[in-house]
Amino acid sequence: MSAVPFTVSVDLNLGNRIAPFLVETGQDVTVRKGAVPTEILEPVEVSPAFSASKSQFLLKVPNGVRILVSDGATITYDGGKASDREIALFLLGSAWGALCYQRGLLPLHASAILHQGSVHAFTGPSGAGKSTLTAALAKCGRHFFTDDILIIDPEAPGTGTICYSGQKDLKLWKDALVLTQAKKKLAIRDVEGFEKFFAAPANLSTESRGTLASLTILKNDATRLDRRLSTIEKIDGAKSIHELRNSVYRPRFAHAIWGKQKLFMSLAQLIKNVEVHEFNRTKVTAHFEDSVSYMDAWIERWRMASANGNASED
Amino acid sequence: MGLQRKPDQKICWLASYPKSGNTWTRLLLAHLLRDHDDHTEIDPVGSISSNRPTFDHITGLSSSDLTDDEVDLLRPEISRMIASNADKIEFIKTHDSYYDCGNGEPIFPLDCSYGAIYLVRNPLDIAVSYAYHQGHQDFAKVVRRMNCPTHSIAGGSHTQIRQKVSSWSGHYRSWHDQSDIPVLTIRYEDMVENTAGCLLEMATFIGLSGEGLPQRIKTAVEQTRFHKLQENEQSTGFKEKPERAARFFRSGRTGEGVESLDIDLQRALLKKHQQLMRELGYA
Repeated sequence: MSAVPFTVSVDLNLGNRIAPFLVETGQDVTVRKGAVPTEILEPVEVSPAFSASKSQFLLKVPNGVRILVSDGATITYDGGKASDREIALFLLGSAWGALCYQRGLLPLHASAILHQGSVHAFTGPSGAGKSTLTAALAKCGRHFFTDDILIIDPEAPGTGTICYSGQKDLKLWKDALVLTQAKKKLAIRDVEGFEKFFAAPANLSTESRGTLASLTILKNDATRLDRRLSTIEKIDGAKSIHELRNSVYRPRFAHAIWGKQKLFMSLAQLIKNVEVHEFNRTKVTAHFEDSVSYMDAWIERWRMASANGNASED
Repeated sequence: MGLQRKPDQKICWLASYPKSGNTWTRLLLAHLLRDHDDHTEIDPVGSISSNRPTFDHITGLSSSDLTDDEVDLLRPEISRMIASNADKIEFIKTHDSYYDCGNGEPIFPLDCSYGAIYLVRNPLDIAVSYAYHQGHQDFAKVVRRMNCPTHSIAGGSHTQIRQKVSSWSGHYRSWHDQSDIPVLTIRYEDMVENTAGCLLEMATFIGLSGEGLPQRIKTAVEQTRFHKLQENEQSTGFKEKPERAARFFRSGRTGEGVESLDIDLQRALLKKHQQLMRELGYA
């Protein structure tokens, strides 16, 4: 089985973030600079920044970058005055997610580590701490697998859920760099004072494919509700599907490109193979290391339980 | 004759400077609008205009990859989308002042706005409440912010997107100097003194009437007595409590500013906001 779900040829510098996907010839997807229309025909979903039909997706970023994704095979960009780095930021973000849907792949809004062949992914809304927790676990010795996007192949043969790394670099705010000691690279934007940076994680895995073992939804209402500072609880059935719908990368893209029924069926299939948990913890900085240790220990317990044929360890 | 509104003018902004009774109002409205008799486990109505997941969901962009000013450019359209998808009045809490989003358009567009319920509170009391809300008692720090015309909260790496709050009087003036969106102004002190009367004003503003209204108001007031909110928080917590704050429903009293702020801080607020404080009966 291939290490990546598709290959890409590009004419701009995308850095190392999707290095495993890049080829010179024989690519599945072509990324080229070119004319981008101001609108697409018969969009199903429209927002201030995107419009999408089943086969076309148009992204319009306020900084002037416009990107058209067509038929899962071509990405055309007009970067305006933006640098390659800024174009790449949005091309490998929202446009990358739309490309996955067009190719029949399910992108989850998740960061993940790889441990002895098993991928443990963390999901949650923006600001939930996915990247920071994953970077911190990598600092503890777990192998960093992906940041921000985890690509699921719903059609992959076999019993497990095959997943792919969507991004091999992290994006971290300045305070998270301090917490995780990830190696700071350039700022993600060319705007003075913008303090979010690309970063190289500790312990980067060269693997870009794995089997998804657990999916953990990050919550931080423990102290608000006067509960213990860190808890992990397994969730099943309707609740897990409900939570996973919020963990899909850009759900409105999925609705436009796949339709709600296909998305629901894919998530229902996903929870047959993958354990879903809620990790409720405080985000107060003073307790950060404790919450990382708690999750690190849980992964170890999961591994041992899995080896004994009983994966669930709440 | 009542004000004529267009079909998409569905958002009722619940606008206030922080710690001016906004969450209490949202709870009052939640109980008032309850369509059955079970009044347990009720969340406050509406979300907040600075909700980052809502922004990301609607735009399909990661707000944390955008500058705060770029985020502002998209906010009017987001409001329009929320209004066009609503089947009745949609309440949205906001601590933003009323300002230009960056392209000449107000951050709160008229064409999707039903109106605004504006909650105002004595700035001396806000200073005390705001400090405890942030988990400290550095009242001087809060007073400096309340006197700063460019004061903003969140944005950048924070969980919520940026809110341009402005100074205490700057916030009030921004909402009351604009004439596009109808504004109902309610003083926090009047809510404490006559909760039912203030809630009736709000109910009338949002078009509620009918024989059952007095009973609904009575129930809402009873369910949101401050001691009751404190008891509920004590037993089950409160989702909107900041992690650093000891509790959300802390005191709710009026007059704490005079008791807790030293005289120099009281003078600093009075000097900056004297005219408006007099207009509102706070000085």
